[in-house]
Amino acid sequence: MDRRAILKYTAYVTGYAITAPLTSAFLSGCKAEPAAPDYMPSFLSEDTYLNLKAVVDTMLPKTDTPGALEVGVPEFIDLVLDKYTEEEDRQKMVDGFQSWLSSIQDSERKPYHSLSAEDQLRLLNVLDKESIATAESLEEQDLDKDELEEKQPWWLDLKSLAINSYFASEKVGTEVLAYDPIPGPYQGCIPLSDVGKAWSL
Amino acid sequence: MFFNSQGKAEVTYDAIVVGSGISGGWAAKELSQKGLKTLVLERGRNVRHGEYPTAGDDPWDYEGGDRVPPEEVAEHYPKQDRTGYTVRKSRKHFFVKDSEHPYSEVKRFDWIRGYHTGGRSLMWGRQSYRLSDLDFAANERDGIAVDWPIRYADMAPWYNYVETFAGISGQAEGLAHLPDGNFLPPMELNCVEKELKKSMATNFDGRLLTIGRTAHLTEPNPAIHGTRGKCQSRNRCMRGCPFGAYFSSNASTLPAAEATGNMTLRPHSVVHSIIMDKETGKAKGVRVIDGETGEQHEFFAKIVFLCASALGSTFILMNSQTEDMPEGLGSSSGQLGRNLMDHHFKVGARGRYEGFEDMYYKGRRPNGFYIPRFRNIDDASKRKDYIRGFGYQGGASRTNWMRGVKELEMTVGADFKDALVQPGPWQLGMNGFGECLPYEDNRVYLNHDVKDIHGLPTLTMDAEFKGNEMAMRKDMAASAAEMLEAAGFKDIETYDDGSYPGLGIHEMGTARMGRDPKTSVLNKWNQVWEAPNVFVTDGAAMTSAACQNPSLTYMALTARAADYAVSELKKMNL
Repeated sequence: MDRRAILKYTAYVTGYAITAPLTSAFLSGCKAEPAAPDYMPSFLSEDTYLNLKAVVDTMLPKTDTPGALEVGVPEFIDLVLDKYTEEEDRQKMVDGFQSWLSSIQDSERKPYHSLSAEDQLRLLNVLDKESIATAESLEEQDLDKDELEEKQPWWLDLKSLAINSYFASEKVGTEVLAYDPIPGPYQGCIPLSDVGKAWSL
Repeated sequence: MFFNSQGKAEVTYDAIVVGSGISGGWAAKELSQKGLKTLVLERGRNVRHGEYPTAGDDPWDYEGGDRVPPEEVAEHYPKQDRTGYTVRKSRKHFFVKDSEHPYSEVKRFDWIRGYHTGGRSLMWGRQSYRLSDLDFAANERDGIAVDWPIRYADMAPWYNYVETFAGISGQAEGLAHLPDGNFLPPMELNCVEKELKKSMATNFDGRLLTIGRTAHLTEPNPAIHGTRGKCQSRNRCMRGCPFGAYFSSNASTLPAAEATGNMTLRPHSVVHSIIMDKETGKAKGVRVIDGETGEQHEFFAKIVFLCASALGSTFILMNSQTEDMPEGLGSSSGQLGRNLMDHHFKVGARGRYEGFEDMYYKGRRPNGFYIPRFRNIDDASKRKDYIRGFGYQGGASRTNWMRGVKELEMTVGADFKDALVQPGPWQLGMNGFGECLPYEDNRVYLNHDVKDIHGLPTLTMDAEFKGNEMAMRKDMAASAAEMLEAAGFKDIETYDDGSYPGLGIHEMGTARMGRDPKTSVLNKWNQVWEAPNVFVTDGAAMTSAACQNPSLTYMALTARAADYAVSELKKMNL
């Protein structure tokens, strides 16, 4: 549904004529441009960025739904790290990522992005499993919210950013998930089969 | 220092209303509908209903998501950001810049606010509950602070009156201590919330779960609500609702006031102080600094309604110093600025529910459930460890894709991605909102060393939650967990994330109502004892905090005081 269609629909559901302010509210959104195919990272080094692309593609590959690369996840992460992340948080992610990449270079004699898809998946899942185990043991300790966030393994921060970026992208948000910008009165108890998948937004 | 280039007649009105938020909007509507030429002074910029630039945005409309660069937060919004939800691209234009409007803290105090037409009525939480005599008689019963000069019977007709116009959706439950209102149809509970409700009815005497009572039109009546539309469950309320489905000054009271032809709304009008007439002992008008030009103006009227928010109104009183009252208008009792209150919250429990995997919901309900107070209601519910009580607000939902970060027992890759497209398990959380007692030493005072962008002095807050609140918090966590446990929830966790005064954004008190001018600032009609034509009808007036969300009470106090003011004017008593 595009924004003009939303406006027409709004007039229909509310029974009221659309006012100028309402029109501007719905037509004013400035859409983020899809990244150019030759995107040059503004924060990450080209080498790290190449590996980031490989990692998010491993985690969220193209199937019958789009993959992370098609919806601009690496570009988004680079931008968020560049402009929207506290220095210490991004340092934690970047340092952690780079040291993991070096350990792979050492053990596999190749950078992550040149490994076979099977090896990429295997190594990423080792990292993922270890990180979740660490996070779980942290939760057993008596730490406050800030300490927990600070100590959370870097990979889970990056993974969180990637998942968030993927599901908050326009393509996934409107075509893969169930999208309804103007749902109407709340229905609290309906069969999941009527919706079929998680709601967008 | 203050001058008017215009003639006095041009700057003279019947009534001046300071502030255009929840209370000011009501004062504007009531006074102008009763025929008074009313000047509404709003300190910030004008926002007309519908001028909500981000209302239609989706997450992908923002480069980098709905985030604000950390440098910008640090420079302009370090305090406004303490909520964790206010400083976003989609809503930061409705919150002040701390860099322009500083305040000082002896102890941490989170003063979250917006300076524009409508004030916080644009961004409020919209939960709307009546107070009862459990609340109005509480100080008298406990022998603390001073007694409220009013009782529920004084307020009930005014609650009815404001609810009808504002439009409050909710379910009547017949509780004496949380009186039913004049409700529009309730929103629906979801499957898991209904299960908890059932379990509570079986397992706990005196505990009840109901749908939140909220200022949303679930069934608009054009004869009352005009062109306001039905709630569409978008839950983008804090950005402004293009449908006018929730109550705001912008969508509701100000258009009604404007329609009378009696209201003049003047944005960018920062009130400096009240001008007192030495001979009559009444207010003559107000001094204003134009927020854009810095010019100073005087405006005159027969009555002044201070509706500038609890701390905003108290600031104006304190800055209105006279020979007789060097600490400001209304300071004779020594109570002006004292008894600062807020609700304490961010404590409760959450858990996972197994079952209803084949069930879901539709819509982003801008509301949750409410569990009314069940402590210290009667002898049976009396606690030894604290007085007063708390209510819970909560909700159940199915988790989304973010459970993929660490909750999904699956390796990453294609199947992982596809699994996240499905909704996750049901979870439910409840958050207690507890009453804070009025303590004399929880206070606010003028700070002449720190000035705002208009060169005005600023406020210093010195307030904290104390023993009674801390003891209550333990019960708030434990009682939440026991209800979840009885209902069969799994992985139940209690939490207490800490709560600082202000963060509830229910700051109140500092110019309390009372029965005696020696111990209170306002009388039972919200008149300043020392200046009967000055009415303070916002949160400043509160004598105790109760545990309910307070805005509905400000609406009712304002409409009641406006009615009284006009009848007194007609009798030539003001």
